[in-house]
Amino acid sequence: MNNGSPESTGSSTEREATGGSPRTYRDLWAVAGILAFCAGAYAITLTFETVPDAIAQGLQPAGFPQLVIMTMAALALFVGWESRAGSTDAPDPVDRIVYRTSLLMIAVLPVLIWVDFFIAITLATFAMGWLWGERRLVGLAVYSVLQTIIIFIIFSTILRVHFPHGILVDFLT
Amino acid sequence: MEGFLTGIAVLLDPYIMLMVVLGTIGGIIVGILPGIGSTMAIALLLPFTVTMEPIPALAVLASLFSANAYSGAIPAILVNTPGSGSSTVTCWDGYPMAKRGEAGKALGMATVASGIGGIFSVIVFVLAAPALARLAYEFGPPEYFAMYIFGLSMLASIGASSPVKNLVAGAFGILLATVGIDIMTSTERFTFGMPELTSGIQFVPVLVGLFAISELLEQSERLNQTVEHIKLKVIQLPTRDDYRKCWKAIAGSSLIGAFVGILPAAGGTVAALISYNEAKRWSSHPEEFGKGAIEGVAAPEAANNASSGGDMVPTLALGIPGSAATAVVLAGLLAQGVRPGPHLFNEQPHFIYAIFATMMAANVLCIWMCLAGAKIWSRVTLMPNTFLWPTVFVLAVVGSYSLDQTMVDVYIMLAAGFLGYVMRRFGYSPVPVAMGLLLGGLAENSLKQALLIFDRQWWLFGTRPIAMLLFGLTAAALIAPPLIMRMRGRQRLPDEAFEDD
Repeated sequence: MNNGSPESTGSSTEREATGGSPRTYRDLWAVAGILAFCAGAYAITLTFETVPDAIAQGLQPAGFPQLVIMTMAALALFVGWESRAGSTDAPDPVDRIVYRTSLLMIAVLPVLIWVDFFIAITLATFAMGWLWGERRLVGLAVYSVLQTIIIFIIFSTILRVHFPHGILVDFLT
Repeated sequence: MEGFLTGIAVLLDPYIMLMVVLGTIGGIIVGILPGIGSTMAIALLLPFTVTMEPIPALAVLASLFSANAYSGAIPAILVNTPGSGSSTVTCWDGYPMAKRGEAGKALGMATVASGIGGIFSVIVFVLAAPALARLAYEFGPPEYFAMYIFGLSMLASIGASSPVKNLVAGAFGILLATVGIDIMTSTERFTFGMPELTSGIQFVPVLVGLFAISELLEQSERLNQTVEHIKLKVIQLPTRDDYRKCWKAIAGSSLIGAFVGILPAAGGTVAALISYNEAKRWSSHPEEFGKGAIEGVAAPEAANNASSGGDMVPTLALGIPGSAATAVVLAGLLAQGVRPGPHLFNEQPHFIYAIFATMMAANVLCIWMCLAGAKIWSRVTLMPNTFLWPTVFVLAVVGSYSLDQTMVDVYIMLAAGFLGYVMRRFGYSPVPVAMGLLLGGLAENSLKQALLIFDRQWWLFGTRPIAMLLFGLTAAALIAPPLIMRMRGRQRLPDEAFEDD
């Protein structure tokens, strides 16, 4: 396991040994993405209202964000310039489990809103555990339910948080 | 003396003491669980603490923060996986010691060194924070603006990746802080007509997303990793011979840790790394380092604990976070309506004394709990990821929702999580985004006030010596990281090791 010890060599050396793709490729893509974001954000600042100087107190509402965006763009260009040396690691491909976990987290949202908050978090715990390879399903189910009960007691009963209406929420509160 | 008595009085309240105990236990547990650093733990805890009275809330946050630095050594020594970033260096000698049957000795030394470093750091905190606050008491808006810029420039030195990338991420955080209604002019900025955004982007969901969800996604990629868990038989207190070997390393590392901690944006990992190198340099047998030298455990543990008190100095005295974890503590203070800075020391000194006292109590409790319960704590390292991380997700969702009881915060939290994951993949640390978000609004307001004072003649900043000194330090902070990077080139740590810095 690579724990960052002095002997760790990192992935770049491994890739160089296997003749992988150039390291700068994705860094430049990231820089292009940042510059596009800056251009879009700057365009939005042009739509901000202009106020009289007496109210602006030295700086128009768009002034500070524009300053920050320009600094960000200049720094991004510097990152691009830095990456010419080819010393930046290109990240490994995203593992399929990351997409699945992300999809699961997004899929939980409609259940949270339209079905029930507590049912959603119970299902999310169970589904994520299963997705990550847990096969002790009874234990996982018991854990998911117990966790939801504890969260209900802490947040709903003690902290008096009002959760969105749902089958269980309406029944319990 | 009065302050000391006020601090003791705080601890005499059973409710507050209970919060200290719970915070300490929580800090130890999250320190042991690999991947869950103090930053994430405090971020997940914020939704609970905003419902509490300020002092009990501070007691939980401060004791969790203090305790966390201790227990990261347990998995570092037993499993070769650091529980928190700042314990990464402890693996280098702790695990080899454990492999040759000296796990108890390594843990004993780690606990004692941590205790000395932690208590020393609170003393430094007690002395340095009021002194720094007194120095900053006469600051006006120009000096504050220069100070925020200096704090933000220190972002260049965090993490193992490019300093410029850190600054890009910091600028993005500042830009996020401009979302909402501009208070001075009542003009909407980046709200896209959404009423939920008019009050700006809340710190807590962004921090929870950046630190918890992005880490969860990273952990999902490490499911196939297997670790060898070394069983702990009994913890051993260091012998006289161990103390003789380590006292210089502990004393020097405590000093280094406290000093590094005081620097904005530099925390336990940097302190541990520097002190390890120094201990190796001072040692009469440097060849043993990396193979199980007991000084290699003592030095980083003393340093990373010593940095915790140091981190609190700029956080409370100036309102500039000393590390990512204290950035989240700062968010917690702001959520409680406590505005850190020099005025806090004059107007609400009981908060400061409460933090002093709770951190000291947490340090003492930690020594006892880690020595007495080491065997129990070592069992926590066995908790499967398939149970742990779904719980982190659920806490992130429930915590983000419960702040304002709106789903928008949950969406923001998830978006921040995905963004944090993408940023990490491309070598952009999420820590500067958090710092930028916290300091961006303050920097803008102080700039506007300074320009008003100067009648929009920005070059009059040149007439303010302290502001110019801080700008000079900013320039130094921007120039120094390439040199530090060159130093680190010899001993490169993964970016995650610096997440709590």
